[in-house]
Amino acid sequence: MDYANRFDRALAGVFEAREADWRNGAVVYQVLVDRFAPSADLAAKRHLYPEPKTLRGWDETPAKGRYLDSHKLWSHEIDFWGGDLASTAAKLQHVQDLGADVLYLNPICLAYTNHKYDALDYLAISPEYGTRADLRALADDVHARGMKLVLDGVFNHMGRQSPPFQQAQASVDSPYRDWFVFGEQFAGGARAWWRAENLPELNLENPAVREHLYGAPDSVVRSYLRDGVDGWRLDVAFDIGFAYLHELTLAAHEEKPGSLVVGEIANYPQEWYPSVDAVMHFALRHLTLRLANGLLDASTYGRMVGRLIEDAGIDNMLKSWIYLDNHDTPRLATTVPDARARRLAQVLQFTLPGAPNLYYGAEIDMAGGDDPEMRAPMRWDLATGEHPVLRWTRQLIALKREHRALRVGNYRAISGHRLYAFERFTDRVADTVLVIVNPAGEAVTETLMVANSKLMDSTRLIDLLGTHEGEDIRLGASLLQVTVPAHGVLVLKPDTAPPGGYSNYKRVQ
Amino acid sequence: MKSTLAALAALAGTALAALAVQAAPPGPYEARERDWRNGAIVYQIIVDRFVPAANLDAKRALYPAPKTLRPWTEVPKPGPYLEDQKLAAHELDFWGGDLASAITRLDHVRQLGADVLYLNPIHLAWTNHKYDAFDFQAISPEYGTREDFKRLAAEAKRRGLKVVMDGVFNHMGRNAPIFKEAFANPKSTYRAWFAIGPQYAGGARTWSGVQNLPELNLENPAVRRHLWGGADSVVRSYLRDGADGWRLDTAYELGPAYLRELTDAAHREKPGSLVVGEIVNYPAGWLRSMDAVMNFTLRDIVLGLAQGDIAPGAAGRMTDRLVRDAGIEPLLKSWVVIDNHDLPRIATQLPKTPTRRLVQALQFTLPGAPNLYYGAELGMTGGVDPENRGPMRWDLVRDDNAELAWVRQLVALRKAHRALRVGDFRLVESQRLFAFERVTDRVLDTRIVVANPGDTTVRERLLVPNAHLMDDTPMADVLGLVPAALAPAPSFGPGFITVELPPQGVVVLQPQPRSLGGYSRYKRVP
Repeated sequence: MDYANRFDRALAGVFEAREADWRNGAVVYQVLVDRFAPSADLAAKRHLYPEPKTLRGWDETPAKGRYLDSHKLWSHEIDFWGGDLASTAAKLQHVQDLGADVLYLNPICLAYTNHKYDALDYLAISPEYGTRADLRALADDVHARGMKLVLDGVFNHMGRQSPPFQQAQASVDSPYRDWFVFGEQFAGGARAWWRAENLPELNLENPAVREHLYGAPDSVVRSYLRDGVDGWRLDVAFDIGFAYLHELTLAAHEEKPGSLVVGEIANYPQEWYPSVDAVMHFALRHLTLRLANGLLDASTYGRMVGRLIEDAGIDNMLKSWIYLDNHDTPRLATTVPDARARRLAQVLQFTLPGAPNLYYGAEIDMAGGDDPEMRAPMRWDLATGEHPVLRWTRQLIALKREHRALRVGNYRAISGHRLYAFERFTDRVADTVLVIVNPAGEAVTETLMVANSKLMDSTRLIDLLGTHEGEDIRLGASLLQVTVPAHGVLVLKPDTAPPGGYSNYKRVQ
Repeated sequence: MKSTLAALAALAGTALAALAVQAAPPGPYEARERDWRNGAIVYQIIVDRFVPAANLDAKRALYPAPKTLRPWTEVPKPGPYLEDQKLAAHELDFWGGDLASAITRLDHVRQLGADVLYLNPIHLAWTNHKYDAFDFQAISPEYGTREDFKRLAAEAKRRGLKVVMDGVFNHMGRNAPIFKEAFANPKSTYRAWFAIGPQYAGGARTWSGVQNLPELNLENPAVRRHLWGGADSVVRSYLRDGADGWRLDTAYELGPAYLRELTDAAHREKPGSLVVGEIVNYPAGWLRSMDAVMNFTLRDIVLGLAQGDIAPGAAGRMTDRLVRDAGIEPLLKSWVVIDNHDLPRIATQLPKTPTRRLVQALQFTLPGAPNLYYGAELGMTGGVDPENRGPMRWDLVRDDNAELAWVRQLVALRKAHRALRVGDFRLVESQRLFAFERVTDRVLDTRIVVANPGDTTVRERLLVPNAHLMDDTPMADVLGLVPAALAPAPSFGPGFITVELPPQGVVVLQPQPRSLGGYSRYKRVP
């Protein structure tokens, strides 16, 4: 690289280091163990679902139930479909064929409901889903396929039925009394998360609780990392606060260098780093859905996204999860009903800096409204090679994997007005990828300025997604004159090695 | 269980201690609150026009012809240029107010909620405005004596009010004894206090070519010693007499080096005193030389926004740039001016009440010290000089005066909300609405100010880059300008807030802790 200029020299080694870190730009596939793959032998497991739990047929979809006052929860929280860690392992080939880098499991710890956000014991696995030995086997299998495994940590609260809470509630002398916050000022006598009496909050101010969760060698966070887990997604991380999150993250890194801590943080992300390695990008989801649905113009979107990235810092952005739907939101096919608009949103999900979080079933366009509708059992009948959305999703994942700039590159806005456009770039001009989307309901022709000093005049741009029709697009004096059809997307890269042996790129890096 | 707990307890202080994250240092906000200069409300008066003298007849001799004494019911009008005086007749029209009469109405200032009383010049000079000094060390007899000034400062102090004087150190009056002496005699010790020579029209360098105002030669160290360097200098002796700061007239003329000297001298004499400059340049660089400026750039942004000349999104970006370039600390001390003795009164500049209210709401919520010109609280009108200098309309000080009620509301808002006084400024991303946050180290201090300068109702989703505010936090308007029915109460989302505002509407939004049976998401994110 003899011809590097001072800008390149400042970037030397940066992108190689980012590439060596699996957390950057990883494709994350998320599953609810109960709903992902049917159990091999459901009959043998029936006893694990005693009344009032209900076992449903795989062809049934979840529907809202009624509030069970005796249990302080809703009946649909204890509807089960029977999936488990072993059945999940049996479908890993699907995840690998998609091209995902990370498997993220919603909670599997011992708990009463199907979603397991009401832990009884963090150190044990819920019997409906398996054992810690099953988890170790799954981790081995995931690793053998070159993937990573992330668990869901719910450390702000436990379930009302958990033995420590029951003991603490029953006796002021219980060693667990200080693990919770009791008092007459709290509805039900203990401080509970968002008034959900089933979810008493842990008193994280008590050092013993933090030791149990992440401080001690046998703590929850550390022991699972030793069992083969590669990272933690933290539920309601905003409740845990900056200081304890930072402690937890340091503990995870100490136990397993390079492990991931990603927080469910619906706040503006900026100040939450480095308390966590990454956040789930709520703001980006809202912006992108509104853009796709025509509720936000391209230039406002561009300015807000630019500010988010600048404030967060690119290294934090690259590890943060970009999601369009998950277990807490209606599915993408429901929130963005127009297929072209949906594709536009997905292109942004896979090209903006970050780790795309793909919720199981999104690859086959599963629909579903509010909880519990978006938690339907996986439609394996649709997951065939013929499914156009499955092919499209594989194409997007392949795009992300093949183009280094999309995984670890920096972000730079391309100046436009009705089109939203940006570059991902590294210290090598040939890596550059240009993304242009038209959120409008009509074709837009616009001249864009690409602020890339190394792109040469009249460079032909290669259409990476095959979405462009018509003559080749060429750059002219840093300007790009393009016509993008309604809801259209273009992902382009410069042709830096045209045939014939001559290239004006021979002396730029 | 007990043995497990004991083992855990033994671990505490080992494993956890190793992970202990240093607590963030305390924010600068407590320190800012202790400094009276930050976000203060400044009430400005012209002594001659503020309160009628107790016994005007006893003072008539102090206003010899061509000076004219006007009755309090008359309003100022432009007069002819008096060639022999080198000034306009209305510069010699007086209404008879003085320091003693001003003292009798300090309670009005205090009850309004002002923190600072700023007096236009009162030193010995010929005109009513006193920008043509004869002697900086003496008080003009129409207004009183230095004893009267000391008494005013003491009475102000007793009421918790700071006093700021007007320093006019770039020039003096043509009839100042020292100028006359210097002009007449090349050997005069004062010759080098001015720039005298045939190259200047009238024989001496004058401010903006105004023959009545010969410029001081500040390059002469003796002049600087007289003004601020010496122990008995103008700046320092008035500070000792009870003044708490100086507003510097045409400060840009003094230049950054001398301004720095003056500011250092003031601070040495009275730590924590204020030096605020009349700077009509872009503020950034000047704040290295003074504590604060009169923020005319912010005035232009706000008026441009209100009058439709600057689009809301652009006004937001300009304000953000202004704050970044200047730094928040000096901006908190800088005066947010909409009108004063040099500008048409706000009620004349902005005759439409909704537009005026929008501008005033921003004057009281943007970073800085709102400069309230006497009579603005009563809705007094007046065009360019001298019409903007009418005698105070004490007859309008009535509880049924809607303008007065509104200004009291603004003052109360600023007093009640710490972030509006000492908080940082952070831009909220918007396009058709003008929006910003004022924030401190306590998330519940956060106030989000949103204004709609347009003529139609606007509903917009705004990006609010606040890492502490939690998703789904209800927000309540604490200004009360817009009827609740016209502006649905918004709620804060993941970095967003959707606000709907009627034309000229302004809201100041405060996060509301939810009542959740003792649960709060803010317990570890203060």
